[in-house]
Amino acid sequence: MTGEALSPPSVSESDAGSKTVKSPAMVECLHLHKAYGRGRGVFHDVDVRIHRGEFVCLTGPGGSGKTTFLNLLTGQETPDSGIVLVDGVNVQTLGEQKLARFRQRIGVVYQDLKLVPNWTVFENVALPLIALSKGEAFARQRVGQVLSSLRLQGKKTAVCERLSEGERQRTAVARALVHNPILILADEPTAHLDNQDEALVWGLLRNAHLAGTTIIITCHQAPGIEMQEAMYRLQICEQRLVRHGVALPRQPVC
Amino acid sequence: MTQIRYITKHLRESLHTSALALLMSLLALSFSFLLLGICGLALARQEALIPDWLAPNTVTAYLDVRSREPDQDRMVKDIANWPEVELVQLVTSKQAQEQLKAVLGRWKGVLEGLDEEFLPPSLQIRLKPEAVKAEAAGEVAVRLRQMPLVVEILYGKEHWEWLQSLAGQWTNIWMVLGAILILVSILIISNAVRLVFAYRKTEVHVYRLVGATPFVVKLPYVVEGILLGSVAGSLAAGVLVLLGAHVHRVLPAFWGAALGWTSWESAALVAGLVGCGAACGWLGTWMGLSKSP
Repeated sequence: MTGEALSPPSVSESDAGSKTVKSPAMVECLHLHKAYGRGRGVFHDVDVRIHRGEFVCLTGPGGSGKTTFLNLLTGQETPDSGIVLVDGVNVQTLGEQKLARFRQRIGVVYQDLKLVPNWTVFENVALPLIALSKGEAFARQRVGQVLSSLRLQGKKTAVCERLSEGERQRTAVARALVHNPILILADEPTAHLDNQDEALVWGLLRNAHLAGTTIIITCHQAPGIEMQEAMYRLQICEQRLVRHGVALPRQPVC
Repeated sequence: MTQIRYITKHLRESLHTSALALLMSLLALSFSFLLLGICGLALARQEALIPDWLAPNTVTAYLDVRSREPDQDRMVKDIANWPEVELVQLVTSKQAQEQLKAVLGRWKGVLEGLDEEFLPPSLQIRLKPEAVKAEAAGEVAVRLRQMPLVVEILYGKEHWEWLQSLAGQWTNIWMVLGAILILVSILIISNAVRLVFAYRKTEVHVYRLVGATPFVVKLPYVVEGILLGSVAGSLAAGVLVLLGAHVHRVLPAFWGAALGWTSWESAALVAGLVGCGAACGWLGTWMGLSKSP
């Protein structure tokens, strides 16, 4: 099954001057083109719609554009042509101020984690709450809660550069969850985790999904069978996104 | 962790990681503000910096060559009673010629054959020390001019006016110098902040990715720049206040009195330099971060 056929949504001008689109979709891409130089095309005329509350696993071989897709959604990269709408907002048209406000509503686990190495786990995880100007008491309580759920409560004051790969990955996941975002984008969030921690992270993502959060992850390995029931797969195949039903097969086929 | 705690942490880390750069900037800034303070003081007290002893204290009135001795003596008595006058001395034509011969020395022969009274008699009027001011000499000159036997008056008016015009030029010089120093201070702060910003680019990048607005990202750097400027201003003001308190012990009496500033001036100096430091800090940070990616 290919991605849904899309008609351009109605575009309206909001009070703030940015173009917002009223749509049930959390993510919409219209005629998306992206290439890194000649002959290095990543996406070609991609139309895709991801509805609110969906759990999507983005798969594809290495270098197929999974991270690029997430970067397009966070506004770190811009498409060569086409539109990328996230929560009704055309990310590419946002100014610095509005892009920051937009990013406050999403949680991202980056492939290279993007933690501040000389900061403690607590400080790294609390960063989105500082950006949101949350009070100290709330920050302490919320960060403590998230760290406990990721078995990191004992590492609260540990400096990130001294943590193991797995602990740093869990710290990055904690940072993506701490401010209860409406959309979680996770680039291989379990890549460096052992089975126990992997199950822990999947469990947290599942809980966030059950609470209504839209989740888009990229992964090489298929998650456990209980997760497969909750998500569907978007596979990057020949510069297009191909949607595969509700259940996620263990061996992706291109 | 609130914004304030984040800013405090930021400052602590900057002091730790960029200590040398910040110290060098602080020293350079303090020196710049010290010079700026001196400029300000010079601007405020430039009239006091022109010593009164440069003002004319002697007025010479040349009399008509035909004037007679009794008239001259009467004039001396009259003038001696004027309140500004300390001493009046009559120099007759003969005395003037003798003085000229003494000045010419072995060239005095050039005066041979000239009339004994070719030089006019004159009155040398010395003013009292408390009245030594340009106005006093001017007033004496005006009164002398009204006397019938007086033909010419000399009291160094041109010299004094030249000094005064120089003082007027100083205003511009101090102001230009002050503007240059302010610009230099802004550039120093701008570079210091840019250096710290570049050192922390990973943190800034991550902070932006999690949704920090430009204002929130830049706030700690603005605080840092303002603090840097204020501390440098305080240091410079402290040095100047100390200098003001002790300058009269080091310098000769006149300069000591002219440069030793009052407590009111000291307070204005501290407020001015700290305020100027804070303003330069804000401007410098704004300038430094406007070019940062």
